[in-house]
Order: sequence, then structure tokens, then C-alpha cells
Amino acid sequence: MTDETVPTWEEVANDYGRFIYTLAYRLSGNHHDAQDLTQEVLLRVRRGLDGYRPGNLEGWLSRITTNTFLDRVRYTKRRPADPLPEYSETTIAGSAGADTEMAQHDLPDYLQQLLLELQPEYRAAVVLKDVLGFSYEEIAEQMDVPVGTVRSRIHRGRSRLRKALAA
Amino acid sequence: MNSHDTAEPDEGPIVELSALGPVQPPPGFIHSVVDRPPQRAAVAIAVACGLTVVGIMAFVAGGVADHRIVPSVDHFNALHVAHSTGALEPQLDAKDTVADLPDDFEPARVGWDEETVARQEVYLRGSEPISVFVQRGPLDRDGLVGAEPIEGAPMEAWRIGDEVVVASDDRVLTMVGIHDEDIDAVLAQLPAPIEGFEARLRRLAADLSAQLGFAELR
Repeated sequence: MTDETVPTWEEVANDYGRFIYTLAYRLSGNHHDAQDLTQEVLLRVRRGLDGYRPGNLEGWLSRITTNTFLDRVRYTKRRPADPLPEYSETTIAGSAGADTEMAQHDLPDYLQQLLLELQPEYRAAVVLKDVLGFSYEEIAEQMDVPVGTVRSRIHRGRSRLRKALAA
Repeated sequence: MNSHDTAEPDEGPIVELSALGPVQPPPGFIHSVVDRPPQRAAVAIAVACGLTVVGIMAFVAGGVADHRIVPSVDHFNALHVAHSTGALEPQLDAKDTVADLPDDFEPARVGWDEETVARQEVYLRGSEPISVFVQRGPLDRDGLVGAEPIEGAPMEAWRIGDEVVVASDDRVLTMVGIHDEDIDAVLAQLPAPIEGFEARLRRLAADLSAQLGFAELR
């Protein structure tokens, strides 16, 4: 999406608030954290809007949202209030009765739950690629990592999701 | 380049993820953020806090400026005469006095003077009364007319005629009826002029206010 002019903060909030919220929810996995994340993102947008150059606004917002999310994860890791879930380096702990579980639960909810079991960096890359449809190059720019790293994260994230879905 | 930079064969997107559509925020959530943007709220809170602090400082500093104590020596003399004549009996309930005078000074009477906002404590040394007037606030040294500093006193003390004025902590004590030979002993028993929290706060506020130019606003 290309915009020729810089929108006002209110326009961003009104027109792209839902987009930000969707990404925030997919990354955080619950409405409470999604609301906090969205508010913080809009705060950062407000601060940074003067420096925004018309172009890919959704990409810019995705970058802010992803970075805000990862900042929060890192902060929480440094100062854990509650035990953090362990992220498996090899596979997601797919339950033996995954089919049954999928049948009992809504598919999006189940997928969302599986996403939360990915490491945050993998989750962000997979969400940006497979849920929001950004290109590798756009994701690399948003996450400020090389394209190869993005490919690797997406590949590993997908692999773990596939194993969990197939389990 | 770290190990993550190595591109790996991609098996393509997980089609099921396309089922993850837009997520609707709670009704009114976005509007509430727009109506009450976080930065605006944060700035408002910061400004409110700043104004509160400045207000408190100005109030405290103003209080310091407005309530510097100039002892009303003549008025205190009149009160001393009025309230220390007659049959004074030591009162046990007068022990909550500010002064801790030597043992031979018995607390006899406690009164309050609205005009000078002073507490009058009357002590008896035998049959000789001594009044200690206690006023809250720092001493206004510039207002001490004809005062002579008492050299060698354990605290800042001045003699004005037959009276003795002491700057003790954030209080000013004015003693009426004290004999010269008792001055040293009485001064030794008075509260040490240790700067308390309130006094420090007032002094800091006054200093800060002066630096910020609030002194001119008073």
C-alpha cells in the first residue's frame, strides 16, 4: 500500500488501528496484551510520525508493532514476573490428539495457540509472511535483519507448525 | 553472518494460516485511544505533576517568606506579666512543652496567643516565673532590632533588652523573665537546632524557588 501524503495521527489510529490490533493480537495471543501493545504502538507512531516518509504505511506500522512486541518480550525476559513458557528448539509440543483438538476448537483459535508456542522472533516472521502477506524483503526491513535470517526464521517456524499440525 | 542468516529450503506457506483473518478490537477501543491518546494523557499527567510540584514549592517557599518570625517582644512582655502573676501552681499536664528547662524550672501554665500565633509556656523557678513563647517558623534575623548575639551559646541566640530569642530548629523561642545567670543553663537544655525534615524541605524549596525566580512572584 502506497500513500502519497503523511496522514495525521488520528487518521492512522482510525484507519489502521484495526490492522495494528490484528498484528498485535497475532503476536501476543490475547486481547489484553493486544490492547496494551496497540496503545504503545500508537504512542510510538505519534512520536515518529514526523519522521515518516510517505510510502508503505502498513509496512512502517508493522515494523513498529513487531519491534514493540519484541522489545516487550525482551523486557519481560529480563524481568520475569511470571515463569515464561519454554520454547522448544526442536518441535512444538503437538498433542497426540491434535485432530480431535482441532475438531473441538475453532481452527483459527487452534492455529493462534500453536503460533504462541513459537519463539517470538519466529512467530513474528511467520505472522508477517503467512498472515499479513509481506515479502521477505519487507519483513527483513521491518525486523531489521538480513533477508536470509527472515527466510530461516520463517522456515523453522513453519516446520514446527507443520509438525504440530500433523501430530 | 550468524547461523540464522543461512537461507533454508522453503516448503511454502502454511495455507491454514490464511484462516487467521483480521481481529476486531473491543468495541470503542480505537476511538477511546483517539479520544484520549496515550501521549496526550502522558503529557497531561506530566504537566499536572509538574504544576503540582511547582505549586507546592511556591506554596512552601511562599510560606517561608510570609511566615518568617519576628518576635513581638513588647507584646510578649505584656503577656508574661498578665499570665505569670497570681498564684501559679506547677501543672503536671503541662509536660508536653517544647522547652526542656533545667529541673528547677517547673512547668506551670500553657496558653495560646492568637495574635502572634504563639504558644506561651510559663515555668516557675521557685516563685520566679519565666515565659517561653514558641512560634513556628524560621527566625527573621533582619527583623531583630537592637538584638545582640549571645556569644558562646550552643545555638543561635540573641538578646533583645532583657529577653532572649533563640532560633531552635524551625521554631523561634522567646524567653521573658529569664535571669542572666540562668541563660547558659536554659540554652543548654533547649532542643538542639538540628535541621529537621520539614526545615530541610522548606530550605530546599526556598533555594530552588529563588533560583527559578519564584522569589519575585511572592
